[in-house]
Amino acid sequence: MGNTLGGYYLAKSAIIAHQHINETAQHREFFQAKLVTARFYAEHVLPHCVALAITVTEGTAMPGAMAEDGF
Amino acid sequence: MAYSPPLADIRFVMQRLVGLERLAALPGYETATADIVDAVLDQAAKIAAEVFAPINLSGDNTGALHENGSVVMPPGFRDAYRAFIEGGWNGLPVAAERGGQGLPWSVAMPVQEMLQSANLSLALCTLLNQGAIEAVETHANDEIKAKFLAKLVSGEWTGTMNLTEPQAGSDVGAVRCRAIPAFERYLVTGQKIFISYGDHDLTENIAHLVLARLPGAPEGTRGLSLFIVPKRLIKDHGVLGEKNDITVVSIEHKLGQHASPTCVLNFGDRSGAVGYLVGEENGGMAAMFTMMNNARIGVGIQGHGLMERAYQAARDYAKTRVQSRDIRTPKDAPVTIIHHPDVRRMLLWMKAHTEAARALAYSTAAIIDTAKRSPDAAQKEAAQTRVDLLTPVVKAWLTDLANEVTSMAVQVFGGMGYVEETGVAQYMRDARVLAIYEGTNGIQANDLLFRKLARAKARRSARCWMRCARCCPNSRASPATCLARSSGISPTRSRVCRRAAAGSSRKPRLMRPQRPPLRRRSCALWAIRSAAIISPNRR
Repeated sequence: MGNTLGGYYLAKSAIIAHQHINETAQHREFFQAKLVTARFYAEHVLPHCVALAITVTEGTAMPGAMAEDGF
Repeated sequence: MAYSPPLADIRFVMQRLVGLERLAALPGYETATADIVDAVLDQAAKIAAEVFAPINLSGDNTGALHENGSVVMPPGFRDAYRAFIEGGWNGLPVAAERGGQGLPWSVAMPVQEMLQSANLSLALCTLLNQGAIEAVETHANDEIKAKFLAKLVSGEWTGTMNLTEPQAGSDVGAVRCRAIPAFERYLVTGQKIFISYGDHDLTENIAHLVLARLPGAPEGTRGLSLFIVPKRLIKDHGVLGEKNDITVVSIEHKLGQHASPTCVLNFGDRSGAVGYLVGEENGGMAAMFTMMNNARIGVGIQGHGLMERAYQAARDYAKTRVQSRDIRTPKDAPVTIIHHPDVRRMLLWMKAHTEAARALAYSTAAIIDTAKRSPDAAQKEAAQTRVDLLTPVVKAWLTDLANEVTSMAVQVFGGMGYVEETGVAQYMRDARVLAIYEGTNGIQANDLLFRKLARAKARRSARCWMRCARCCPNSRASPATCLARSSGISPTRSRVCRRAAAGSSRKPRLMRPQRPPLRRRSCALWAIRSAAIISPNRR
């Protein structure tokens, strides 16, 4: 949930940064960095959300299935 | 390593992402104009960088000491705390009529971030004060408020939170401390452990908020009452009397946060420690939850603060440490390690998560402000529901990330990070307990699933059903199965499902959990949104 929310907020930052860059040349580097950061997060972090979904929906049985002596 | 408050990033999130104008429009927050907020941030940056940060490493080396039955704080901590309260920082988010500054939580949050980045051990004390103020303000009667509130708001006295006992950790209902009524007060007896700032020499008095059981109280959490027990007794007109019957038995030797004294306290070894009831008899959990929810958000911001500090350290080191040649220009001279792809990946990973964490924390603060001050009842209630939902996410996600980011900072430093003298190892040690105290992150996951998602049962199950129906139109699964899939719990065993189904128009069909086809990606995304803090970052 946190990972997904993080993506949401960085996407919002990217939109704000994009608008800013289109409107003015002030502090361009700062806002450019926001775009790179958001895109990095989308490529390096968000894919884990899809993988986590499999764990969340499929991965509940085994912790309960292990006998206590099996640990 | 110097700490430089990231004011440009802080202002970006506050002004552009969250938007302060909306908050200044809320009744009671009129003072939060852009000029005032700007000045507050500048001053907070100053006290964090110039007063709190310089004693972080030395505080870790010396640690708090237990001498002759009381705690001696490391050198410099008393002066730093004095500067903090003299600046009026302790009462920042407290209403002006209570002696505070009347600023929104949205402003208190970045101030806390900077203090936590600068010196986590010392800033923990200020975080506990805020929670204690909120609990007393919300639940105590006028007599107790008159005794304690002004001193707590000014920071002349500090507040602590006493839940844990040797047999009662995550299971708060197992608390055994007792309280008996005596002359319009109560006498508290029993032992509390893991009490952060349970004793110190920063202030002349401490207000302990203690969970204990009255005679004949029911078992479990329903039989707990909250008491405020001062370190020194308070006579008429607020004059301090002799010491209360509280013994500081010892302080813990810990992995990190060495400058924050973690105490074992014995209440009532002689005749009983004098305390006052806060809130209703047997209503202690509700009252303590006011403090805990406040502190859970606070611990989340501790995590974020450490992430920022560790990122800064790693970034600055990567820009100066020369090692190996650039893979694109192998014939040229060796370069600083920030030129190497994997180091850049690590730095970006830290930066991206730190910024995402800040955005989540500040946005949550803005929702807290709306929940506290909105004149529109419906908006207020909706905001409170959202705060309740986000609290465990802020706590668990930010503190799990703090562990990963501080560990990654050590990785960027390489062997130099593993030795203590570079200072970056301290952040990793300090971070470790954040995922444990104030409700372990496993407890946060339980809270999210079983309380927060189940609370709005009918409404939420209907919404889940709508979403699933939209994204898998051919699915004929009942809301119970749907919720079971999204929470990953079998419908036959899940209380959530039974509750959800009870609130829906369709009867639950108890079927074997089906393997959801992977092409239903949006269904899977809903599943993460409802449940993924169970395992947020295990990779």
